[in-house]
Amino acid sequence: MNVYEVIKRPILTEKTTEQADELRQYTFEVDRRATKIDVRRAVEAAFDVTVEDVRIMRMPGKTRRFGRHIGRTSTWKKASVTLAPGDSISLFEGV
Amino acid sequence: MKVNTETVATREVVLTIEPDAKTIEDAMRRTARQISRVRPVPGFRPGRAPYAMVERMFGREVILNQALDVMAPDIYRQALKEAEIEAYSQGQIEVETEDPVVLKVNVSLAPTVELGDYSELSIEPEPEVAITDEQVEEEIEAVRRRHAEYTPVERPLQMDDHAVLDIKGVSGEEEIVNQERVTVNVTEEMMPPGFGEALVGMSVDESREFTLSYPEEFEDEELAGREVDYEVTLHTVREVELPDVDDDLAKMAGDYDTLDELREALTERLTQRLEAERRQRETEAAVEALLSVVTVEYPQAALEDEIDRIMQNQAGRLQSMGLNFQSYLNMVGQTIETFRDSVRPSAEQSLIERLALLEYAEAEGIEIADAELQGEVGRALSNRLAMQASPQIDETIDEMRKDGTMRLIYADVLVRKAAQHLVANFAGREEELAELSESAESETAEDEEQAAEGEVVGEPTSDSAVEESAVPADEEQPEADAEA
Repeated sequence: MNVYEVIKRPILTEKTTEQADELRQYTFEVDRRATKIDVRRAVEAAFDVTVEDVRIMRMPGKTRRFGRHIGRTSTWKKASVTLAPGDSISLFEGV
Repeated sequence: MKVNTETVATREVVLTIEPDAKTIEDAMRRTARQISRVRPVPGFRPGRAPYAMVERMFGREVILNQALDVMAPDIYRQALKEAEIEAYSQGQIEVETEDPVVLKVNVSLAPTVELGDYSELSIEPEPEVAITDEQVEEEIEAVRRRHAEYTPVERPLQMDDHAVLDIKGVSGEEEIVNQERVTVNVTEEMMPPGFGEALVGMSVDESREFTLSYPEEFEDEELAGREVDYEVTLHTVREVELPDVDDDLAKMAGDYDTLDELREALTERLTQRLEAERRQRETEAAVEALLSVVTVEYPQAALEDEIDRIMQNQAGRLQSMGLNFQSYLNMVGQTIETFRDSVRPSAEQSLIERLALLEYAEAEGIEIADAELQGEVGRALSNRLAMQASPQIDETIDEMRKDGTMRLIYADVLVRKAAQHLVANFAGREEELAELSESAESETAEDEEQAAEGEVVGEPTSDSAVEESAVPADEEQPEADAEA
């Protein structure tokens, strides 16, 4: 897979910022077709860091109703990346 | 914090303030947390979003402005301290640059009063008011005239009659008067000289034409020295019958039984009036003398405030006559701006006088004891509101203490007392001086007693009285005694 199509956006929540600060774990939404290896390559290329570990989970879409219509949100893939000690990614400008 | 002072006008400066970066940053972080509490960032519980997230969502400017709103008073106060400035009033704080943060604020400085050496100054004390019998008789004459009876008569006009006239006066091309059916008292003092005499002998419905000139030194410069052609028609002649000077006149004039009582009352009223006038003249002279050794510098804002005061007073006066200030302005054809301009000179004068007197009060250690002040306010209130119940007055006084009105009143009373002191001092009236200083002491003592009482009873008014009565009478006393 093309490196630039893998990472879609960082997931920034209270939980992920804490993990980033304390465990060097950064969380991204990634392309559904991406593998752990794709993610590792993409992160290393994009942020110039060494990736130690990648965990991937599939986030199943949820049923959403709009009145009589039943719909589903799409399933997506979330990757949690642990960096080598000393590395870090600044996900927000100005920090 | 770096503070730069630049003088832009008399007693007006512009402060350029550069607060420490650290202080600003801390404040901004606190503010960011506040913001995220009110408008939570998605993914974070309210108030938990990291600073960078908040900044990215709302922008640095928003955070900075909000932080400054909170910090401005503190920064301002600290800047004043740093620049060693005593402010009179404060303008808007403006953000000059954001990074680094530089603020600008226009500050009016407290007026400065330089009191020169006034120990050599004096005024000519005016003699005590003494009423002569003639003056009293004149007053009685006035009373008689007020209660005179007018009876229409069928005879030619005589001096001292009442006449109803049409008067037309022309000087050259210009019409001086043109009035119909005016009622006049025909006397020898009528203007221009000879007018009264020219009327004498006229009978009803008769017309006369005559020419008279105004004297060269007439008050009204428009008319002084002018020759006027008059055309006068007489409509009615009334004889003036003055009541006899006896006990009946006294009864007519008011609540007096005998003529002697009326005389006494008139004498007293006259004395009071002349005394007040005398005081007024002396005060003016003394203040003028004081001003000759005083240099006052004040910011524009102080003058504008003074004008505001005058306007408020005026509005209050009009209100009591049942007039609205705006409709009054319309009536006299002025706008607020022209009115302000018209009172500006007198406002300037009274501002300077007040500042000078306050400084004088300071120099002489004149103070107003709390009880004295309270009495003053109580009197003013019961006069104005016709209130008799003192609890209500106490309540109002309490309220005034809270909203700061009391401080203003204090200054007013102080100015008045300072003026009294000044007059007594310059006129060399030692007893009065001593009295003025003494009254402060005795009233303070009284006040303390009251306060002590209040503590036992637990009355709220007296509690605050303790706080307010910071008048160290003992300190001032020895000096004044020595002088006396």
